[in-house]
Amino acid sequence: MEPHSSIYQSTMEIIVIAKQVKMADSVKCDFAGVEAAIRLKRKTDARIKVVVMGEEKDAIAQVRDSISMGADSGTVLLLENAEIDSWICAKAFSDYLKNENFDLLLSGSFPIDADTIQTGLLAGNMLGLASASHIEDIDTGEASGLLKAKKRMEDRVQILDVKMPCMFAALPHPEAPIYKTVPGINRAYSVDIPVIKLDLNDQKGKIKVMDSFKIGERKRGKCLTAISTEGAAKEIINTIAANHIL
Amino acid sequence: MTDFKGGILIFLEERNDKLSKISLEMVAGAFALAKEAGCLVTGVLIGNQMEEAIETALRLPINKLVICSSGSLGDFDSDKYARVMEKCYKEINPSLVLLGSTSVSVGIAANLSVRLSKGFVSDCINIETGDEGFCLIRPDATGSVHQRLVSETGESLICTVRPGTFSEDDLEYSDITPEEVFVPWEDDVSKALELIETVYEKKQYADITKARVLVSGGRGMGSAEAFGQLRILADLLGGEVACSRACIEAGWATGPMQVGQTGKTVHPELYLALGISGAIQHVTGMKDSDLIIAINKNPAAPIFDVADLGIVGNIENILPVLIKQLQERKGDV
Repeated sequence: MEPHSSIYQSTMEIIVIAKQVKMADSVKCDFAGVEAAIRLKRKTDARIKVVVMGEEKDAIAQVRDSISMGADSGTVLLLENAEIDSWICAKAFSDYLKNENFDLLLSGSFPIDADTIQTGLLAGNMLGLASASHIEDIDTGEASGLLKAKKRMEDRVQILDVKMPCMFAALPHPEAPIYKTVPGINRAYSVDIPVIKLDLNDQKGKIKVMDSFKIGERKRGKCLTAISTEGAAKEIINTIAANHIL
Repeated sequence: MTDFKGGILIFLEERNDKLSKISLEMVAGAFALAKEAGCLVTGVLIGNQMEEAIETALRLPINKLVICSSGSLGDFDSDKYARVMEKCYKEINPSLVLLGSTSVSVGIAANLSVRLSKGFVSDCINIETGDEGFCLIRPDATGSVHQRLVSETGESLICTVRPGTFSEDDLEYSDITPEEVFVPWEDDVSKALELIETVYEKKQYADITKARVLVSGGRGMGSAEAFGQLRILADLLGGEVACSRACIEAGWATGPMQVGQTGKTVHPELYLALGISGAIQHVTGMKDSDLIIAINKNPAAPIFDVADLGIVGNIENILPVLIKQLQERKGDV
């Protein structure tokens, strides 16, 4: 079954998906998708629903934060095991989204932003949507049912015309943060946020974690005192290269 | 059960008729892995007008080169490219598919993963061979823990590899020409996504908290002119310029560039501290960087207590040499 689209008749329906990642003492939330949705909503008539996958308390908090910033509604997909395979997460998102009406599906675009590039793109592809990552800007297209998107690449920018429904993994815009508003906060605490418990026990993942190893605490490293200028530059470059940065 | 027999399939990224640096790095890595595992390596080139890229690819230490060239493949489209990769996959049945962790390849990898129903691991920083086949190493969301991942089902995996994981310097060009296979392409699918325009422009780095590399200057830079040189270094390393409070006070830099207690907290992959003494107020904001390299003329500077590599020396002399050596080394990523 394919996702339904209202084909942008009057109000564009946007769904933002975000998967939370639990860390030792906090939860990593990704707001790049919802920020992109709010920026688009400022340009056109749109309704934004946020679907957050995570543990109940933290996921509800992220939905509330998103509504406070400008989203309209939200749902929590309750995940009891945060360490679950991204294939299973993407499958759970796509199963949920099959029954939803939307024109545009958005996620974040960096693996460091709570892993949603992987999960978001997988979900978009599972739904058979035209998908694109590293989207910097979205605008309404020249014709009805089209979106114009700017994809940031390493050495260029592509301007794409994309038929809805479609999926974009959006880049964050740290230089132009979207803040919560007082009416938004009021709305966030007055709307119902449905919590849907995911039953993923029978789902088989594709990847398993063999082991994990912690990167050590910071210590004083090598300190070179009597080194030539050329030798110092070489040592720096070698160290950077050995750490996979060059 | 260990199974490497399908070998490694690599998507070779081509940009303006040249093989990208990440493609050469992946071939270098795959060559070493294939030696360990006793398997074959196949490269795939997709695009249009790729004469120079094909010429380079034919000298790579790979066993087979699959070429899919068509006028309609000139502009990158993840869905079309994934369909070509799917064709290649079904012919070769590889144990591991490698793509670069780039804006081009990540979309192909996810699309391919769903087409083939195979696991996808993004942003790997190392690959090993083990009892359970290829093991993929990637950082978790905190960045401070690395995970070793294998296939749950024993089936092949698709992974994107972070640039710099393998070294292009390890690449040994071969005298043995790989087998060339040409795959036809018919553009028979209606397009949901259409490329309108490609614009080449330089990226503006705006926020130091998001930069992968920070080149940070302190009072020891000595002057606004010397501080200005940091931009060249940051561009060479694909990073952003930051500073300590002293530079703001001296008027060499602006507020958003400041790291520390009264500035921003950063944790880039590389923090290059130049002429920064390392007062605790500054260190608080950068101590969680993955790699810290410091240059300071004072051997007792506290920055050396948190630096992985410290150079006691004169910035004025080292900076131009460092820039020159990097310029010589730099290629297209």
